[in-house]
Amino acid sequence: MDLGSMLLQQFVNGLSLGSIYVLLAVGFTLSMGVLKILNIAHGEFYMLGGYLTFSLWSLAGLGYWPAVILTIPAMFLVGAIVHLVGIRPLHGKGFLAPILSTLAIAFLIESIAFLVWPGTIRLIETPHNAVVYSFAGVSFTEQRLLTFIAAMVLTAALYFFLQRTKLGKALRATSQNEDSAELVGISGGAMRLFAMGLSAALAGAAGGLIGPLFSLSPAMGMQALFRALIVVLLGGLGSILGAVVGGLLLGLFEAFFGGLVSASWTPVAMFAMIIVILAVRPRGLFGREELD
Amino acid sequence: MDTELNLQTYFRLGMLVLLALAIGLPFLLNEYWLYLSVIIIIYIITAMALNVCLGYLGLLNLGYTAMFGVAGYITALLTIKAGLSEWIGLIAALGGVVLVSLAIGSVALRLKGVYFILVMVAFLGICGGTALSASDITGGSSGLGRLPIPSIMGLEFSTTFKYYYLALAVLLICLYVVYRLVNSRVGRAMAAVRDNEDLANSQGINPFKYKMIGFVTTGLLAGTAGWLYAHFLRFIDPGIFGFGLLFDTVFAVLIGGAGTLGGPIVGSLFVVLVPQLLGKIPVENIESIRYVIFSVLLLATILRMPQGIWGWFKARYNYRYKMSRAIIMRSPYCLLDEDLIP
Repeated sequence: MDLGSMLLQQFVNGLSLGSIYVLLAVGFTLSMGVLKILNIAHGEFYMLGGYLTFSLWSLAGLGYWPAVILTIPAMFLVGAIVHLVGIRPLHGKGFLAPILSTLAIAFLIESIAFLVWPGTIRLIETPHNAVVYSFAGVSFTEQRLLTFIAAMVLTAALYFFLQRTKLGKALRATSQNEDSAELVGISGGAMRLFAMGLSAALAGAAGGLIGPLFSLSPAMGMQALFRALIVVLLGGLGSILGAVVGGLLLGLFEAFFGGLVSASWTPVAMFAMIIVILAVRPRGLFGREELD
Repeated sequence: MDTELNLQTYFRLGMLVLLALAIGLPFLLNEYWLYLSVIIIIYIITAMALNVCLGYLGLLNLGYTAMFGVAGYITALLTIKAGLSEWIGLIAALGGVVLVSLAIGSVALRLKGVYFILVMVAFLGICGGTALSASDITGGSSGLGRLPIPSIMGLEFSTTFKYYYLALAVLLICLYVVYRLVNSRVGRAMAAVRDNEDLANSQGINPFKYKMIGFVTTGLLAGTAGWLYAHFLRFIDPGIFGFGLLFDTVFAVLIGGAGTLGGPIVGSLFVVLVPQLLGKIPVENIESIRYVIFSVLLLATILRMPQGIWGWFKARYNYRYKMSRAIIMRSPYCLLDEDLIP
């Protein structure tokens, strides 16, 4: 394989990986923007979404797409429960307490996953994995293409929901200034609950979409959390478009670095990227003066 | 006044009894429990390290176990590969940890809120990834083995029984250092920065300076624990950069009581001894069940008792603090309803 088509191949792989990161990060940035907390359990929502899709597909015998679609409302519910149990009681009690409680919840979800789905590696088999397209020396499965499209459609849907609908505007208003939003009759508590559910649903969808591409493991949640964090740092807090750009960039970076330099050093390179970005730009590349 | 004096006398007597117990303990325990006692001591020092940052500075330093591992790897490399003495290993490890802390602290401590947490977690990830990937130096996932046994003036700490006293001596030194630190002008300045950074700044306290002092102290304590750990097990691998040690010590500090001297001790006893009780239950995946139980307990602590077990006892039995309940009910990471009333 010549260098040109290899680069192109990494580009295609990077885009499909990046689309998952986009979906992961838009939910993350939403919860950060509206709730003003760092949700350490966000990666676990992603992991749980993957496993829920897997279980619906393998145990309940549903098709892959119905399983993904059922996962989304189920994860909304999980997010809402996490909010009611671990985050709402700590509202207004300082900055650290909700972070610590989501840390506890993250470990809770991860250890439950280790109990429920122990041992072997799990991969969702879909018929799309067998269909391979190839042109100009680049090949990719239909599943990769569909994953990319599904992730982008969901992100676009979220964007239009936030921009055009009343509920979406209420969410954005709460994220910009909660007190002012309350003054015009938006319930801050309801918005926080809704944002948390929506954020978990999006992470769960990302997990469901990654299921057929990479095998699932209960430890993948923490890795996903770091990627979501990097995307938010790249794209700026609370910005959906920033998350799209940042997610695709991170996917491309990971594919190129992993493919051309070294796969085992990729995590180190990404962590170093976080520190370098923050050393140069203390609020992320396009960060604003919001979350503290 | 009388009551206070009596309580203080009781408190000091209690401490003496505990110290005597700690010194006499090895004569009562078998090898297995001795081993656990040393592990508990290492956990206590590690948890104390986190407590300096989280409890006295209000910084959620989720990357501090990197210092534990860095010190362990420095001493392992120097003693195994260069054949140097373990005491040179200790000095080099602590020196290395101070340098690393100053370097990463100069980036991290200028950042606010989530960004500080992010840099520290990223730093932990870099250390873990390097230990795993630079396998020609660090031995990769199989780690480094056969570290030398520490010895001083011909006395070799070769058995668990002897090592216990080495660990206990180190623990007492660490306790003394932290006690003197938090009860000094520096400690009060740190508390001022924790409670209100802007106010402290306006009073001439440089927040960055005091954060750095606490941050380096955290690194030194964690490094000391890492050295003790590496020479006790005589083995080190990238697993120590993982979430196991981090979660256990966060749990120990929070459930014991952040911002108290006794908190890490109570918490570490809890975190090592409770799994021993659970271990008696013949169930598969007991490790995952332990994490489920611990996570639920941690969540309950944060929600219901953020001052921790030691903080709760202090509030209940310390007369001086009972008079001003608002002070003692404080938790360094969570405001309570009492705090919120203006």
